[in-house]
Amino acid sequence: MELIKELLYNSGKPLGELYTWAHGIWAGWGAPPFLLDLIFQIVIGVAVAAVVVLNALWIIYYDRKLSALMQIRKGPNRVGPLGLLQTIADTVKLMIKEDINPKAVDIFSFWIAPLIIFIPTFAVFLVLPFGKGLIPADLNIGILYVVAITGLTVIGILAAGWGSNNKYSLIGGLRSAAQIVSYEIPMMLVILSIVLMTGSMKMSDIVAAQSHYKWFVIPQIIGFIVFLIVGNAEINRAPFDLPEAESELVAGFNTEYSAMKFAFFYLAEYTNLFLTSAIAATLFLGGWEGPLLPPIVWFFIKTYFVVTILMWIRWTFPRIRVDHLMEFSWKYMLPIALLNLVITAIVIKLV
Amino acid sequence: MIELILFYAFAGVTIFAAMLMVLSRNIFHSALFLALALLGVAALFAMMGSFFIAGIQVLLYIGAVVVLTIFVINLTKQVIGQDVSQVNELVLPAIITSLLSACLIILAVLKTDWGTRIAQSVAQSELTDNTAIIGRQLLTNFVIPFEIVSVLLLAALIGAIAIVSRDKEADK
Repeated sequence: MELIKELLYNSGKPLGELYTWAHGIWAGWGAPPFLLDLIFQIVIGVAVAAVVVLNALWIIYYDRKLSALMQIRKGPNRVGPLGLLQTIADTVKLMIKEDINPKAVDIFSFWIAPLIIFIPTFAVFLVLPFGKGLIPADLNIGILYVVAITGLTVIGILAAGWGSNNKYSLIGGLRSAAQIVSYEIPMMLVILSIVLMTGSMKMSDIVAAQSHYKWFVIPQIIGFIVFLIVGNAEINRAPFDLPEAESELVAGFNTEYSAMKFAFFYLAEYTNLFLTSAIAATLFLGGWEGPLLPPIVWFFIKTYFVVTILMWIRWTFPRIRVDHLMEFSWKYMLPIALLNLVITAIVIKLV
Repeated sequence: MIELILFYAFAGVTIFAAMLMVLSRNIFHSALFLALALLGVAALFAMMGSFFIAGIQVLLYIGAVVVLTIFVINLTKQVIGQDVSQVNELVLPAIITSLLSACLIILAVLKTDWGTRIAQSVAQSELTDNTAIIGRQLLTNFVIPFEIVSVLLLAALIGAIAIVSRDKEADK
């Protein structure tokens, strides 16, 4: 009981004790210590993979139910109680469907694209602070790592667009690249203002700097709003879902994809939604900090709060036109983010 | 032990990807292999403890340079499935340049006193956060190169805008 409580509220300590305890036993057997470290790393990797998949199952169901609520529909309600097993049924369907490779595709790019999109998404979980001491790897470049790794997904989208050898896919891929590259700049400027306030890029330091409820959402309210808009554009969701705009491009870069390869795109999209929200919660809403409930619960509450806002935006705004999209980034988001950065710097210098 | 295995793995991936990039007959595959090679270099930087350089390597070289390269390949006329020759009429100058740069690199490797170098860098990287070191160096010892680079980039930016707006006027 005591252990569970300690594990929930202060995970770093018992986990560290477990680690040293296991190392002691391991040394007693005379085995090389790096093998045990390797085993620990594999266990962490499997745990992260489990979080990714289980979370995606739930978030897809949540998105469908929430959209149904907003559009006065019922949403999934046939498979399982309240339709809870609908996503599992869909996943099984996607896995056992025939995997079609169209004749004219460039087979290498076509196959590697879903992997290039999914691997960075998975890798970002490495630096998410789920709770006190509960962070797979607390890198000292934490947030820079997030920005750098998420930038890789665009290569996957471009590879999917080009490899499909289809005009809709190609346009979808190009739009996506232009969009992600443009919106990455305001996002980095906003993150830079946060880094200015904390003086560190470590995720644990960013959470620690907001302790005692001094959440950055108050001083950085402009940054928070810009981050939400830009983050929504980065993950290609409506109203910024131009890369896969159904009305113009069939399904954009994933037109030619089916079965398991399509499932990868789908999984990556929803995992990215979760990631953007989790990073917003960590940077602006104090991360895992909160009263009474365990830190990990607070982390998920805050993350799902941001997820709900993003879904709300998705289901209420119409898709914007492609030239408006670019204008919006370069003429509005970028100057606002830049101004925010300058003001932050001046205020920090003065105070 | 494990570091040695990882080093050879990453170095092998880097060299293998770089070779595939040059040898691939498909220009898009070349770009993808270039990304992989640069990722391998980033992993090597990370293994040396300079995570900041590794992060910047991924962010700028893959996130910007390779993405722009792929973007340009996508904008050119569809060359999918077409094999492009790896050599053209500049093969002789290319061989000479490659040989000269190879000589330069080998010379540099042979002339460096690795023992003291490694001791120095280990002592430095374990003591401090190297992000802060880089920041301080850029704004003190290297402030003039840093400013010159920013002016150069600004000039390039203005030039790009000027070229685009001239085309617009010509259209009218």
